Amino acid sequence: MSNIKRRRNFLKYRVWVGFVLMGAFLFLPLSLSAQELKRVILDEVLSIGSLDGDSIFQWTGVAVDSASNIYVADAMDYSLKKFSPQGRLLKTAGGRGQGPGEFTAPRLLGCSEAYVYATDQGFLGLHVFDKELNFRRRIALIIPVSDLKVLSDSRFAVATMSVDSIPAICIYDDSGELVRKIPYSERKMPPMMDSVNFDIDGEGNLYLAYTFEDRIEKFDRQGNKLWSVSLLEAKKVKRKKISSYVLPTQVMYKDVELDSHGYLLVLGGHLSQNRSRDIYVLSPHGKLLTRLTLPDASHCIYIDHQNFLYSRANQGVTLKKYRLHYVYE
Amino acid sequence: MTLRKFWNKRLLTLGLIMAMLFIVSGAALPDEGGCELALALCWIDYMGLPDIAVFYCGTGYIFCKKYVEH
Repeated sequence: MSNIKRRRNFLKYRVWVGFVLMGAFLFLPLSLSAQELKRVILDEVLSIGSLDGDSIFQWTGVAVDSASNIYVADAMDYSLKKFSPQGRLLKTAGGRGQGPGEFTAPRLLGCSEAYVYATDQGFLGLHVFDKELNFRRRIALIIPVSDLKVLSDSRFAVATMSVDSIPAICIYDDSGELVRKIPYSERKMPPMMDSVNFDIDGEGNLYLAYTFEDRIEKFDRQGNKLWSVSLLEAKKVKRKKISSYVLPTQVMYKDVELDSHGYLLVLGGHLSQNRSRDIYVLSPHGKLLTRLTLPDASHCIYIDHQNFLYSRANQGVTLKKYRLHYVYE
Repeated sequence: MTLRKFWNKRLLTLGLIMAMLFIVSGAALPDEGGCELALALCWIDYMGLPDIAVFYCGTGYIFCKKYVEH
């Protein structure tokens, strides 16, 4: 075989190898992403608080920092508690009262790199603590907070109760100045029907689960609605007249959290097959992929940076931590 | 209104408020309707302050629905 022919064959071989490698490079990620989530399995890794113990009396809010320390708002104890990643109680702060760092009824928690934020039923705004639970300051707001997501050391987002206004998620800076409003309805809504839980992804997209309506929605960072889904086939919202207001009485969805894969986990309420235990797993495009069931009823779910899920057990005396195992088709 | 009637009304209101406090902050009542009762009583409590009533009692109602009823 002549040298020219040999060189030509070698070139051909290199071109073919190049094509094969390029094909693998292009199509392998596609084939992986095309794998559909079939199931999510819960694996309990930690349990804090028990019926005969005194580390937690009745927790309401939970947050986890980047070192996996766990912060709990204990309503019965009017306190914040810090636990090690292994579940050892490290510090308790707060106490009953209306002074700096005190609580009348602690509720929601959020965590940034440097601070722990807490809401109180009896105070319009947030209490800010450092990671050692030393009280730092209060941030006063003019509206009550119904859900809280801490975005950074200097930004937090809240869902509020709107009265005679367009419902919106409000983003504030660390001094309590309103930075941005993301409206999620074009019109005013009947009392409490605008109540939502929410989460925000890394691109600024907003995910909402309505408390009293069978509706889960996604908005982009400009506030454009991307999709809206209903999972419970609840056509009519059950309402009751209480004093002079007609108010909804059945909770459709209790909480919503994004996991580190971008899946949306929504905790169902009174109309779920397993009340307050079913978690619906949706793709970022709003497709229902699977459902998992918590062993105990919970009022909320929380997913930390390492993708562990936290929920309630024993009517709030126990905090459970689960590893999420994803099973693909 | 006689003094006796006035005190009966006060006692009734106080009793209702105590019941509300028990429901909201005390042991969890799984019965449906407990949150509605607590809300109604909360509104009575804040009758003279309608704005605060809507916010304070409203957020308490939503919390109660999520936390207590399941």
